[in-house]
Amino acid sequence: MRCSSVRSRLDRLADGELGNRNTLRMMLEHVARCDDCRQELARITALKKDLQRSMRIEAGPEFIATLLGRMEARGIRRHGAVPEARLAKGIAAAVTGIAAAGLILLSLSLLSPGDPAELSHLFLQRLSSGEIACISEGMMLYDTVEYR
Amino acid sequence: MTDREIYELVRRDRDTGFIMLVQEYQGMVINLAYSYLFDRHEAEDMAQEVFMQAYGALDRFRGESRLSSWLYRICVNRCIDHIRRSKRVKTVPLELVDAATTEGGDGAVREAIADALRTLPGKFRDAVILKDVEGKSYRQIAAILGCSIGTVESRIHRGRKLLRERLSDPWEVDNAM
Repeated sequence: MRCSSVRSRLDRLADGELGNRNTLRMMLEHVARCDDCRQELARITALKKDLQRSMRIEAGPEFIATLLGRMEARGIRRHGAVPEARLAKGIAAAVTGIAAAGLILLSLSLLSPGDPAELSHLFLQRLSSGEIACISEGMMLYDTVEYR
Repeated sequence: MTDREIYELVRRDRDTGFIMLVQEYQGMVINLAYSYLFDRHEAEDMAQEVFMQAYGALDRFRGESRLSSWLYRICVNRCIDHIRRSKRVKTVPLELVDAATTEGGDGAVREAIADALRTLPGKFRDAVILKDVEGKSYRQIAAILGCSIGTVESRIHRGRKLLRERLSDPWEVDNAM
């Protein structure tokens, strides 16, 4: 694979969005032996990490309560339109659904080895930590994950 | 919860469905607003306005588009309108946004990123924020932005490239690794 075609897919690799296993394998081979492309990938992942660290904020714990209070104050929603018991029931149902979905996804991940997104994620982790320095190590990671 | 489940819940029980919608999308809306306003309190205020507008329009939402896409449009339109009306491209000194109002991250890096994001065309910024801050997949971003996956990829690529051009040393590989 040439640098130019690798470069055009580095964002996808960094994002774990390379769906084609052959392309992923070729990309990993190239990146493991090409300093320039590996550095470019490292720059992308560093920017991603800084964006995540710097620009992500979470809603405060009172966000929904404040929202409902403001809506009532403005007459958009009447007071107590959602009794707490119903709300708790709704949230419990949602949490149960999410947990069930998580279990299904976990089962699927155990049953389907070598998911391309997971592979590239693992690769990036080891690349960042300096564990991967040459093509043979990169391939070892690929093979280890593929056949686990 | 999926959009479909929330939509069905809204139809059966508007208020409970609305709260589920807020729970599901508050993070996305707040982070989008933050990427335009760069102030946590303003972003939370904006997110509340977005959800209030959404609540008022829930009856008219027919499920033809995704809830995420619908909320995204409301949020971005309101943010742009807010910035235009207050004529503020940059009025919040980020160094004043102390640790109590922001989470994690180095202040200088955050300020540099905020400055760079301000100069980014909205379509690139939104794609990058949805990917790198919100962690959405290309498919999800395509649905939210109403474009193809290829367009999402292109916008993310160009957005990051522009960001890196406008940033400097912190993204050199020696520091990154």
